[in-house]
Amino acid sequence: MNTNITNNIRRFFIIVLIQVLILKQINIGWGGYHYIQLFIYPVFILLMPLKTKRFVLLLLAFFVGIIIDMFYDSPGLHTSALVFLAYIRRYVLKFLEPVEGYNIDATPTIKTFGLDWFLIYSTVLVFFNILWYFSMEAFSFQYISDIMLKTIFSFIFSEIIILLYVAILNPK
Amino acid sequence: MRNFLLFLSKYNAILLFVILEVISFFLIVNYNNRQKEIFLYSSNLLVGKINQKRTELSNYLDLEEQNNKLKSENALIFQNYFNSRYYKTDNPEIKDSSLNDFKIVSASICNKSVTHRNNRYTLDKGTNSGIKKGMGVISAKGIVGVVRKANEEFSSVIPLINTISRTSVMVKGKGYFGILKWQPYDYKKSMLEEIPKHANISRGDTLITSGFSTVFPKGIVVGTIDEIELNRGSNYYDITVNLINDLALIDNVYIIENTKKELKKEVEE
Repeated sequence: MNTNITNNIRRFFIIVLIQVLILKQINIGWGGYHYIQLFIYPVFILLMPLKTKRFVLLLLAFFVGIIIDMFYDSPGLHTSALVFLAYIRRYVLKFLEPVEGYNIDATPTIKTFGLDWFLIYSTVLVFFNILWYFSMEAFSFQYISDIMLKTIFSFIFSEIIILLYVAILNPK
Repeated sequence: MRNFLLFLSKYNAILLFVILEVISFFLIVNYNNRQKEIFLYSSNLLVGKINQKRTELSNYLDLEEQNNKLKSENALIFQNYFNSRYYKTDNPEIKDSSLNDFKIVSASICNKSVTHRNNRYTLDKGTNSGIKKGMGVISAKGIVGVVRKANEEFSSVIPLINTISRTSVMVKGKGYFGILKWQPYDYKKSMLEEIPKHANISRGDTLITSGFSTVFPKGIVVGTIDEIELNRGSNYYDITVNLINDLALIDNVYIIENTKKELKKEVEE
């Protein structure tokens, strides 16, 4: 239990540092638009243990989001998206539940559930996270095509980075 | 109270979610200028939409009045346009209406035929509006025909696509003159005659009115050259012309009155 908490605190610092020191500097785009923004911080909520209480998860998401927003100078944007992710995590987990059910102490990683499972799990959550983020950024459905383009491009690259992170650092 | 606590414990996640999202939302709107502007604008969007719909409706109701107004404005613009080409002068005193050669009246086509040999159009204006026999009729794109007869309320037009129609035209920029005659039954095409075979013309050249007749001012677009043929033993080209106007589709026309017609006829007799 204690190792779990220290692990997560360490992960929190690693992820925030990667996000604000490296990924924030990468802004790829063409034709005057920045289509690609890279997101790694959703992984923090993705990798929270299954038994985490829901309101704890939401508050953690809020906290991480606020920290990221402080670095991005966009109060509320990342927070809102990450809280949304934390909220829908339970439904996605329920949807992806294996026949024999979850081991209550498990952490959703590649190691415990396999690559296929983690791929679907992270794809759905990260996609909605990014979609929510860009919707909030545009703040109007007038720019729906812009939102979709940015979401799709950013999602593809963010997903790759998240998978790399999970595969390389191989969290337990 | 117990029920309330139960309710809270049952729905704590969604309540917390909503509360946190509301806080985020508050932060977004308060600390991001762009979103703030859009938020204020979006809340006005509904009001704006309603107002817009109302305006659209009222615009629709007085559509006819507006149309008539626009048509007469257009006629005035045409009039000034044709006249300004004849009197290019820097002296403002010469810009006297007595010098204007052309007067223009707008009208709508209320009956037309395009599939016969002798096609006719009927206009909804007649001598009461100053329309007389022999006046030229044009549309915004190019020429349409000539008024054949007029009564108080209506007038009949011989369009370009009538076998008795003859129009004097010239090749723009090259100066050759010819006569435009129609052969049934293609209302998008016409024939150009009397262009001599030494003339240097090519496909795509624009034809404009020559201004020789008193009917049309010089320079109104008629069509473009489509095919050029030279029959053996003939001194003239047989030229097919694409008419610029789709004569089956036009609705609004302008009638040109040449105020110096009589003077010109007098000296030419």
